[in-house]
Amino acid sequence: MSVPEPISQLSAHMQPGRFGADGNTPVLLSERRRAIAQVMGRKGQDARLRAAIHGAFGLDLPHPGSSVTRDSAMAMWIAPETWLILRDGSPSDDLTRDLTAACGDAASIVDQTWGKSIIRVSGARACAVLAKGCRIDLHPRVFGPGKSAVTPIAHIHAVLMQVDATPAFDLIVPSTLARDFVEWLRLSAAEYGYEVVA
Amino acid sequence: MSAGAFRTATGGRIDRTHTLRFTFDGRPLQGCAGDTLASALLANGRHLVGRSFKYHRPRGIVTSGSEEPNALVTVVRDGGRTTPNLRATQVELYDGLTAISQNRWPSLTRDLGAINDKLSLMFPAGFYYKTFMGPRFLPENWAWTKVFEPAIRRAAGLGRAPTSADPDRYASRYAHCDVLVAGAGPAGLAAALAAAEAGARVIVADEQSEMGGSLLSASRGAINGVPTAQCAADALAQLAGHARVRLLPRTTVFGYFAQNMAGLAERISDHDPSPDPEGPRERLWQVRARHVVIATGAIERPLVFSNNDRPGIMLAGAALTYLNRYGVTPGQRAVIAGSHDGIYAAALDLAGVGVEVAAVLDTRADPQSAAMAAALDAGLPIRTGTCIVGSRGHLRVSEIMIGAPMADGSIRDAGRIPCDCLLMSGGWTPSVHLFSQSRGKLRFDAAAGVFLPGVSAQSETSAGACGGASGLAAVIESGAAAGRTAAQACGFGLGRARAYRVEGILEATEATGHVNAPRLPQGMAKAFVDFQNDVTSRDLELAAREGFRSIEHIKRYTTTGMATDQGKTSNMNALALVSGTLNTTVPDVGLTTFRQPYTPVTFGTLAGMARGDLFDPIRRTSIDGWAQGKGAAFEDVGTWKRAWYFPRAKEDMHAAVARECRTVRAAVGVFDASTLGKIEVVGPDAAEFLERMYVNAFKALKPGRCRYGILLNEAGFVIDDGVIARLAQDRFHVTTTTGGAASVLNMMEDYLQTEWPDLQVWLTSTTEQWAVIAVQGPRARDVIAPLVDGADVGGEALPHMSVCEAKVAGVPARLFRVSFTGELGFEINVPVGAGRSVWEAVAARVEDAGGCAYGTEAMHVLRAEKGYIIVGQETDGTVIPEDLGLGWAIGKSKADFVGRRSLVRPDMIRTDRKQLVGLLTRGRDVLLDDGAQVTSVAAPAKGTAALGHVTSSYHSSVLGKSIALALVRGGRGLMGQRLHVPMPKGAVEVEVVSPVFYDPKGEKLNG
Amino acid sequence: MLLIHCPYCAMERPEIEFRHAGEAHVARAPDPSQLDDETWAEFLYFRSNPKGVHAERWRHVHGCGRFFNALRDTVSDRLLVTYKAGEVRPELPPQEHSR
Repeated sequence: MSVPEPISQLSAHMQPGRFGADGNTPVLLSERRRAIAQVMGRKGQDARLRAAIHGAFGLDLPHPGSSVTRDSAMAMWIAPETWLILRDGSPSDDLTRDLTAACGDAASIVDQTWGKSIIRVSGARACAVLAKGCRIDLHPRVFGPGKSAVTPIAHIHAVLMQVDATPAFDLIVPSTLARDFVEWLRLSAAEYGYEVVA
Repeated sequence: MSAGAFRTATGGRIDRTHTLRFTFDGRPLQGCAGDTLASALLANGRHLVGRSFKYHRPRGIVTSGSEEPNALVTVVRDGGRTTPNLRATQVELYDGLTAISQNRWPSLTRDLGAINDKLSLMFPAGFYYKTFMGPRFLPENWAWTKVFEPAIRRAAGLGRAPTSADPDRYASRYAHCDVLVAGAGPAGLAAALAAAEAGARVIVADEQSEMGGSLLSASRGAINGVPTAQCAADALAQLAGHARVRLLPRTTVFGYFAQNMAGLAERISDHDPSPDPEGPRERLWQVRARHVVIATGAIERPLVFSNNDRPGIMLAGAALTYLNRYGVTPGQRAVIAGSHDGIYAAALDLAGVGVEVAAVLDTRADPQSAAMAAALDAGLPIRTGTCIVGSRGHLRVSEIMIGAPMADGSIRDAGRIPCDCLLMSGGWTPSVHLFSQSRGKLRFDAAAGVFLPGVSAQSETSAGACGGASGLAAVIESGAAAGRTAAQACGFGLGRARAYRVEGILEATEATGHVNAPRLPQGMAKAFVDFQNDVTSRDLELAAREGFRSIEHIKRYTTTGMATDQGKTSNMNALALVSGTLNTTVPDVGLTTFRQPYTPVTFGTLAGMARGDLFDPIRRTSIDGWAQGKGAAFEDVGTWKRAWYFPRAKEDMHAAVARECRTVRAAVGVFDASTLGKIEVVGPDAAEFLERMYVNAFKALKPGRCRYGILLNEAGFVIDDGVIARLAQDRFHVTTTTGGAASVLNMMEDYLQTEWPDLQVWLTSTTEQWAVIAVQGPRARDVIAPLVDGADVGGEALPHMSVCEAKVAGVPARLFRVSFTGELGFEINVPVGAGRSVWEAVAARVEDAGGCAYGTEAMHVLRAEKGYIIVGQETDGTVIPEDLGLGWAIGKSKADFVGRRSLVRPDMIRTDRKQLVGLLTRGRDVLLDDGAQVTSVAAPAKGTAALGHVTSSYHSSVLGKSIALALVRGGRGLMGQRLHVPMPKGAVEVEVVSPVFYDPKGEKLNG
Repeated sequence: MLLIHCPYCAMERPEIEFRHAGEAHVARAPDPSQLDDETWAEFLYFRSNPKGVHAERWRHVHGCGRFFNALRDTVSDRLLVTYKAGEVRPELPPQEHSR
């Protein structure tokens, strides 16, 4: 029997194309496919955990409100002693196994690859689109690349991180709500025009 | 003459070359680009625009801004767009605008409701409280609900709300800034410039279409050598040059909330004759500012005298704005009256364009000012020490009566003056609404006779007239200073202060003016204080005479200040009248609370995008698309869309559910259980933690086995249940009810973080990670066995209530042997990304085995046949495990768990608690109502307590009869007895039976 | 509409991210079975509900997920100070709650 390739909940709802108002600077929407794991440091194991993650991924576990990227891996703080680790490659990539091997009993690891969907919003009007549902100030004076936040956006619990100064943002939302969230993003971006890209 | 006989030849900010057509009550009229509906009507000589709320008196335009109490109109657009109660003074004219007047029948000029004016003795202050007591022989409230209220609702009122759904889109936006400036008049613009130049991020909002405020109405003078009227454009151009400044015209700061959060309503397309159908009509801004500059100016007060509400009577400042901004004169022969220097500027400007000034009446005995001197020089007929005592006219003022106040308080008749308009000024009231909303404390300035900002509660500054500044120079100076203060409060340097040199303005010596409300001669005529709610000076005096002392009570008794304008023009006059009547001071009478919104905000703006499908987030499982493809009916379960049943050709719900149930019992069914809450509990102390949370024993549970867990709250009541699997020594897979997922995780986190922080346990919601495919029925094993790789699904290797890890259809899975139907059952957990493909593989085999997919309704029936409870259906927050017959689940040797102590409280160990039982009706097809009461006799006496209630009721196609579960007092001791269930069509006799209707020995679980 | 300082994130965040969780410093007894019915009922159902400064629990439920404590003035609806779960209730400077 052939093993079916896992499919995103969103594939059918993010067909590439140009939508909404005309304009020279459409907002770009795309789904990012990455392995995601939640790493929860055990009590008194902070130094060991940091060393383990640094050794295996080259990442220095970040502080509240921020994320770090190194090569294909990224870590972001989401709660005290708790981080999300993301890694490029197909989601079937067994990030959880690598993390468990690296951390041993310094942390508890839970796979979240399919529990979350990642949506990238970028372009000059990205902040304006997000500001319709996000209460966090994304102005460059306050936010910026490497900053992140856990906050509800359009009533949906989201993890938000700024990827670059374009600006581009990655939004991590519960996968069962991702379709609803994309509907909201589309409606929000319509007045500026938007393009769904692969 | 184009666009109106009362249009001046030159001047103003309107475009005389661009004529706009519009209709008012069906009559075609013309205006100019730049007009408001009010200015265009006045240009056509139309003052009469509406009928009053209670007495249906003819009313005209009184103001030129958002404070307008009278000129409320309905604007009709295409596509069912009808907006009632718009202020004509704020409605921007566009070509094709259709406006209609309100609260009149059959027409504005002949309104039958005006009879109310003659019957006004029926409507004194507090008439709601006095009049509507019906005769005693009638039922309570009969007179009110059957007679008075319907009659009053027909007669009194404003515009009619549209009946169709709002077709427009509304947007919302969160914004952040250093400095929010509310109001873009001279003070606001100076503040915005100063703050922006210091480096602050600035948002400037102004309710008008054009920013500039009073500068736009200026006819003389200069600032730094630039003509005053040009200064606003210059300032706006400079502001627009700063990238960090956002200018929001047509945007009202309607609310000032905690911690410098402001609500702004932006009107985007109402002024547009052909708005973009995709674009929003209005936008709600929720602005978080580090500092707020309130620059909302001041509002002019009317004079209070008999018949002061006739069309043609308007505020002097409004007349100046119509003249200088819109090029419109209010009439041909004007009387200007007031207690304030502003009347002289109005008189001079009107005389300058050829309006005959019949008289300038100053109530002050001996006013001395440059403005008055200028008016005297111009030869205007000025009479000091003179007040107005009344007016005449039918649908327009034609004559005013004047008097001279005497030392004894009486007023001597001083004759009559014919006129077609009266321009009045009772002084100016600083607009302290936003300051008051910010919870700042107001102070009464006895010298100026007004309330001014006192003690701040938040980081804000009031600048300009709303802060008490008087005269253009002082207003600008205070604005610039406020802008610098604001920037400094946000951590920016003070920077260089701009210098403003104001010249050639007719400055009033007394900017605010004392409230002028002389005692009026008694008589039939009404002197209106609150125009919109038709509250007269006599109503207020009556309330005071009847014993009301606080303005808060007088307001509610008389309804003064309670209309849609919230008393913007009337509140100070009401306070002065009441304090005069009570012989006390204004601060002693008090001040009513200023509440949001400053002007009405549409529901659409507040709702924004949160309507229709986006009202609430919708959650869908990975199998949702398959179910849709099969034509499933869906039901909402919390925010989830769940497949309810899968009707085949010509099947109704009943038939589909019956077939699905029979198929599961006879062969096999597949069910999407992905919505179950799932929590991964990991860590060395995971077993200890679950042992403390749930009633069951978990430390003894071996890896690979499951247990049915019951969760209580600390009061001992069942709040959730689910299967809990031990995957490894330090890892559990906990399932919760669909609706309980978030609250169970919240409760677990609560105990873990705050009661037992020493435990080494971590919790992660994995509800979204796993798709759950339940395969239930005697053929369940046959169906899944060929799909499973790496595990033995035989009864010995994988007995009931166990779990293993295996590949199912090639996908790594957690395979549970569990049952919620009483049949042999499995639940396949696979990562959501593979949910659809594994489901399809399983469903195909189910189909081949003569099975089918089933939905939530069949699931409910199947579990009820087995007497399995559903939390929230069989439980209601007052049910303990013993009530449900689930006492066996409690770990008897456990020292403690959440809720344990409560289970031995006196009420919990009573034997007559309500207990779960089954009910069978005598007629096999009689279906009891969910929630129906259970009683001992068919027709209990009134006041008899019920024995219990029906918790679940279904028709069981498998058993061929209806079944019900119920909680009944001492129910387990009533087996076999007859009870009754009163229903709308009569009581139904029932027999108390075991709640397990099907397979009571549980043999089917083993296949 | 409030901004609330989360002591774990060390940031002020909008109120919508938080959920109120009842009165603070109401500890569950280590062994509730030792308590008589009245004491247990007191723990279950009785709360102080003061006018003025109130110690209460909040959870940063749509943020870091931590429970923490706050002193809030129930008259002004101002959160005067927030502190981590398990920490002792801080003393307020007199002017903080005299408003």
